Amino acid sequence: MRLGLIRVLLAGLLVAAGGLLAAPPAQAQSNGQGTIYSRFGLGSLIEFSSSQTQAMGGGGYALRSLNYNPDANPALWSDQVFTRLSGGASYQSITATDGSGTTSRLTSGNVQALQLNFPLYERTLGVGLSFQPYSRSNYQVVRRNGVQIGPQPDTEVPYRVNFTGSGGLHRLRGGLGYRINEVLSVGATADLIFGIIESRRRTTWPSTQALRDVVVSDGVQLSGFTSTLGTHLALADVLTADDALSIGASVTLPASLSGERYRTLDEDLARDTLSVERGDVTLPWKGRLGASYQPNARWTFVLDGLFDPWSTFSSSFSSETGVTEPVRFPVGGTSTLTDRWRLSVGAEVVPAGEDQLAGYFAQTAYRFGGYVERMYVQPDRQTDLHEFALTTGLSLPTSLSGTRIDLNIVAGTRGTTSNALVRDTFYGVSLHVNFGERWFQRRKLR
Amino acid sequence: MKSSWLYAVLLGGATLLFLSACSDSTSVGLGVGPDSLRGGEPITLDIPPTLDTTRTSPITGTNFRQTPSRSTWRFLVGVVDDPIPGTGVIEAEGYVDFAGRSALPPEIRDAPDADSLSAELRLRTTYLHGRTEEPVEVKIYDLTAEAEMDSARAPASFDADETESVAVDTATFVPRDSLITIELRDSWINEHLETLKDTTDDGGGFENNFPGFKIVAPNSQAVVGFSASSATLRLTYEPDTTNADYAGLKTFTHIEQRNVTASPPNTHRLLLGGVGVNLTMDWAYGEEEFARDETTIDSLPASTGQVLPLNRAEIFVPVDTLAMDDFSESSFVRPRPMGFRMVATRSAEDVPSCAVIFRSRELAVGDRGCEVPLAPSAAPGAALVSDNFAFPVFQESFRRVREGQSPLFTTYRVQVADRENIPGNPLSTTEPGLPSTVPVLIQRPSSSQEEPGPPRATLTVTPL
Repeated sequence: MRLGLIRVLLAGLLVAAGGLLAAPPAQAQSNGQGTIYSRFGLGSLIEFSSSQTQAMGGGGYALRSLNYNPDANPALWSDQVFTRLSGGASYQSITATDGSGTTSRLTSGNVQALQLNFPLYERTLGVGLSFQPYSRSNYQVVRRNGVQIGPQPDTEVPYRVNFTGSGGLHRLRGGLGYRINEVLSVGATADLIFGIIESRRRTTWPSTQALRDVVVSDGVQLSGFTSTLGTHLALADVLTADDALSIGASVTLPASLSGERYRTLDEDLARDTLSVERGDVTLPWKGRLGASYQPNARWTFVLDGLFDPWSTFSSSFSSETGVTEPVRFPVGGTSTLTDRWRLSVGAEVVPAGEDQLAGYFAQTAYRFGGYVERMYVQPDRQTDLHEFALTTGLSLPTSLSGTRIDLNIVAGTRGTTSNALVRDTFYGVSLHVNFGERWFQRRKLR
Repeated sequence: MKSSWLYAVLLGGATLLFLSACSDSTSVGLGVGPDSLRGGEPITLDIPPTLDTTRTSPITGTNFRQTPSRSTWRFLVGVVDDPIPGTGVIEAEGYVDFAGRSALPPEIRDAPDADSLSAELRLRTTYLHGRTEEPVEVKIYDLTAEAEMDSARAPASFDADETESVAVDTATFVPRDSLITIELRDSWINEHLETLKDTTDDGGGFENNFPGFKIVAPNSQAVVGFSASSATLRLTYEPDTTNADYAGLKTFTHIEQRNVTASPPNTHRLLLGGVGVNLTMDWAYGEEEFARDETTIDSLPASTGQVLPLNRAEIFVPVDTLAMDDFSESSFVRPRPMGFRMVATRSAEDVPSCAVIFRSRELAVGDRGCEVPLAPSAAPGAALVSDNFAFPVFQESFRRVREGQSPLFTTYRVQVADRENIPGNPLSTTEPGLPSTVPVLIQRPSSSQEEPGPPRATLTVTPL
């Protein structure tokens, strides 16, 4: 039975991973359309640490758990017992509204992350590997009009101009977490960030095939390394007996990405490269600080903050625009980026606590949280954009003690309809499998 | 937990990932940001070429024993003075030769002399240009030598014995008649009796000794066309009307223009079928040529390396039928050409072959010419190169110009080609036209443009 489950899970994750690798670079990990704000900067930044923390507001930088290995703080990887494989997919629906009240409904499906963690020395030294999106561009806007095509008069043909974004940056992370003593753990990762962000403008003719589509693509291909350093303090018996207070922090170092931006005409095999320019960009550092408090075995509370000074983002790509040159990168120039911060809170309750004999729903974890974020893009260079959301989730236990299936829901809003901007109202559902079992450990003969 | 649940979970995850086909995108977000979403809007440009005329005499002869067999071919006879200024007087002289017979009816074969025989030319009219009410008096002369009529061009002529017409003195007909018979003199029968009876070599003996007729109508006021395939020399045994027909084998039309005392309207270019006055069109590539449209000057292809994405292209050469109707008179018939023919001249040796350019069978003409297929349905109102064939020409020319090379073609030559077009078969428009004398008026570009406008390339483009 257990081997069968393992095969099922591994097969599923391998299929998902294979799908990611087989997909075109500019489309991997995402399918569908999303917010117009993903057109700016590097796209929408993806914050995913673990399915547990996602349902608790998205922070959890200090949250220790035997069933999860949060990705945001590598110091948490030191405390591992199981070899753990995690994967998830999400669906998100956005209703975008502009100042005139016009709405647009956009949906997308995404892979959230693939994570593999295992202990080298149980609860002392652990390894973490992950592959997940760093940013995502998936906007879509349509303009409709008509044009006279001649040569005879009165031959107007309707056309559509589809503006779409695709692709994004991905992050491949590998690292170690080491528990120095009962209180202090540290961790470090090496991160490879790479990917293609592409915006495409396609003029199409919905009512006739007599005219050919024109597709112009502006893209930027980037890659580079960075590192994340983390630490974690675990304190016991702080306010009451058997409670636990954890404080975690991590810093992602500035990353220098190099690559090229390009403009192409047409697509697929007929794609004609009109211009290419090499350049570098520097991503800002990112600091995370969080606390978690467990008054007892049933309840867990988290409080987290993040700061990301995107105003220091720099780019050596030319800001010139011409007929054959790509649009500026980032769109609108670096002045459309601003410092980003994020505050989140969350809680988890497991009614059964540590009672392994309790009923199924008593062993289910119930999570809820919320966050507020100032977005790092400022398209009009003056209006701060915020994102507010509530999160909730269920964590279903399975017959495998280290394996849980999580279902998370998020709903919120971002942006504003003032100053010719757009407000998104969104909700999302995600499904995660967190498989854990003891691997690579020699059984002791008794 | 059963493993089937896990299958369900995996299936659910995959569903979430791909559950994204229900987006309803609108214009929401178009104006967000300083670099708001712009561009991609196509525009249609009418690019007029530089117009001129040139003379290239068409082939007006055919031989039914050679391919391609042109069953609808005709030959012309007569004189027309079209009211359109600049046409002058056009005179057509017809030549026809007949195939011999391998056998003859006994009555004719055994006829001792010409007294019991009569001979006539039987011709079916298929073309009329000129005054319809005036009778046409024709003269027929024997050719003095075998003539290579096939592939001969309109200015050519062949020697004939013009001392006396072999037709009877009263050989006249009304142009509107569908069947015309011209009786030949008894003296001609008598002179050619042995030749007419020669059935040796399956008729080859007759053909070797009878070079054919030249048919003229110098005093007529119309040019009449006769079906070449149905032209017949009929020999009749008078007592019982037994007859023998000699079928048309070769025909040719000599066409010449004279007495051009007026110029065509200065607002138009005049094309003349038969005489071979053709329209030439040249499109110059580069900013200076396209600068008339200030909204697109920066996006049009030029020697500066600019790119112009092309959605659609057509070449349109409209006939100004209204202007032609302004020069009409009562009882004067002016047919409209059933088609046109366009030949483009490749600009350089490195230009791909015609077959590669048009993705069609070989369309080469001479060293550098390419037949350009036209839309059959556009005639007689216009010569139209549809998008299927115009698009690759402009697309490739834009690319070549951008890379510092010459465009595919330098000159496009349009000529009147009066022939049946096969609907839906553009390649049928590459066939040569039948002999004709038809004039066509084409508007020149001007500031006060009226319908149907001048020749133009109509390009729908999406500037970058």
